[in-house]
Amino acid sequence: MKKILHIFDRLKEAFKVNVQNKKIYKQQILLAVINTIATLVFLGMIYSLFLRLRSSGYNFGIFTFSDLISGIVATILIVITLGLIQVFFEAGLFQMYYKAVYSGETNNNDFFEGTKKYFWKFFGVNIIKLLMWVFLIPIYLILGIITLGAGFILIPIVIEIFLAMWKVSLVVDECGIISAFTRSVKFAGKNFVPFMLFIFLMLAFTAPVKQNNGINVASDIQKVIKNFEEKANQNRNQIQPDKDMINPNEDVINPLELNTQSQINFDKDISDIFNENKINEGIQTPSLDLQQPDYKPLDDGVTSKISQFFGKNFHDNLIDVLNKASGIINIVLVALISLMTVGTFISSLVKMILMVFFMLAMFVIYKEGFIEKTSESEEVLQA
Amino acid sequence: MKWYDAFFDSCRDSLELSTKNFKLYLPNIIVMIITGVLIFIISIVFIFFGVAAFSSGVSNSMNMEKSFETIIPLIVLVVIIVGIILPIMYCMVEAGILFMSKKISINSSANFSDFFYGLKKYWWQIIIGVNIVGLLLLLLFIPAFIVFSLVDILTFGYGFMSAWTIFNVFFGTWGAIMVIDEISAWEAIKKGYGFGKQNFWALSLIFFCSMPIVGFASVLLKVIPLAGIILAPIAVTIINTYFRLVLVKYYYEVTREKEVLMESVNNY
Repeated sequence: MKKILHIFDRLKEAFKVNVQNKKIYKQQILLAVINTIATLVFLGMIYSLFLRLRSSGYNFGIFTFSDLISGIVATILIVITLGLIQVFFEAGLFQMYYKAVYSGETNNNDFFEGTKKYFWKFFGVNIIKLLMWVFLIPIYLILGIITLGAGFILIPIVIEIFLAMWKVSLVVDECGIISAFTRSVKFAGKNFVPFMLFIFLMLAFTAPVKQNNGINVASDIQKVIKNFEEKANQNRNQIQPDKDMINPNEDVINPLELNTQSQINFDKDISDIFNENKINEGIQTPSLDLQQPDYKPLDDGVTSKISQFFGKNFHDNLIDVLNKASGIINIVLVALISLMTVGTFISSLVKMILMVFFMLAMFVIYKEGFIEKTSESEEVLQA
Repeated sequence: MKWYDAFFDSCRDSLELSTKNFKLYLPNIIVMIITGVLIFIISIVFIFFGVAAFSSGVSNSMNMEKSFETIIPLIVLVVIIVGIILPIMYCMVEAGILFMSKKISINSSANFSDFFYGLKKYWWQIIIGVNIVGLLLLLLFIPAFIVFSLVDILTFGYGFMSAWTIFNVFFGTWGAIMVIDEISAWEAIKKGYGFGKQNFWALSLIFFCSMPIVGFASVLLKVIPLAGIILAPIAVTIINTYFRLVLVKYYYEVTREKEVLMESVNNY
């Protein structure tokens, strides 16, 4: 129990160090700005796709295979660049945390010293972690299923407890990657309960940012799809023939079981309606003087895939709604992009404050452990 | 002593004291179990009546009317239980726990007689206080709802947490003040506003910390198959009670420090 109580002492010390060394935030703010720019670039890419789609009258067939490949490559490049930037900043910041906790003060030179000293080591640690996860995935899945889902959340946390001090040990002990790994595991094993509680505390404060974001976006997408599906089903039911009105002598075509011929007829009818009512005339598409690239439709067009998946009416409704609400969608998208950009920046700042504090606490804990501070223990620590 | 020293010391001491006085957590756990059982019974009865009304309604519309006639007193009963009995029960437990927390902060120990003494002495004041603060919450929070919704979107979930924290800093300390200073709820609310202004950061930490910790513990325990359904609310109750003790301890330490300082000045 006493060991657990010392968590608060270490947190207090970390807070003190944090208050005395506000310079650490400079680099963190720069990192938040970089993250925001990356988000803006990524959202800009998505927005340019929307503009292309709108100029084509929402014809999903304009996306070619090369588009798909270039999109994937661009995303991978952004992720790798961001990852490398993160490692660069992490290496520098860890040296700053080390200096702040062990010497009481830190400056910008420590940051650059850290990046030089630890960039490749941290990069190696991250690669090893990634590879380890790749190999552990089958075991993780099996254990997760055996424990009825509990393992899916608890296993990463347990792994995190044992690996949390890996990078800290690399910086403090100035040892190799493997040696730091064994030290981290040993430290967690020796102080399992208090250290586990500390990791829980850290995760409780730093995890919500990601969780909320993911859940909201996923549920919003689900709502949009559900709305379209409901509308499609309503319209499908409306065109279902009334049994009493059908002449038994006539051949009945059930619209719910559309064959190829009826689908062609249906397409023709819809295009006739559009031409008769001159619906398309009202829709203004931006006059781009760009030459249309010579493209191959992606697997016979995404349009047909969507039609097959959701039913014909869903696709037509979708195009109709998109065409009519083109202006509103544009405004909503621009507003969303601005909102998400500002949101990323603010949440990065909030996360930054919490991360700096907990990282400093990790260094303090690694320095002093969970033992009572006495003059003897001070001497031992100094030695 | 810096404000963060007082905060971390209060957290540490409260954890030590609450583990020695585990009784502190029991009343809340019992009330939580009673609430759970009541809600379970109410939902089962409603499902039963709903099914019965539906099945009889399909066969005869007169039967359906009759079923509604029988269900109306039941709805009234549920409104009385959920709207009156449960809140009063919560206020009574709150009064007892606050007094126990006071005893623990001062004497390092408390027992159930303290709980019942606090319950008798403060339950009526707690009801008055809860109503005043509830009204304030409605008046302040609803106009600010749109602003905080936007902040919530911008900060990916931190908006409402911050709003709730700020509200509690000014209007969430009155319970602790009332039992420590032995004053009325209205006086305590007025004093609490001033105390909130003076100790803004420390109180922000106390209220802000409780939310993610409660959330994380709940999520973590809910994943445990079967036992998680019971363990998660118990853990949430324990953490909430612990933070109430932290608040009482913090207020006690801060006022005691002030008193000691004043005494030494007077003696000098």
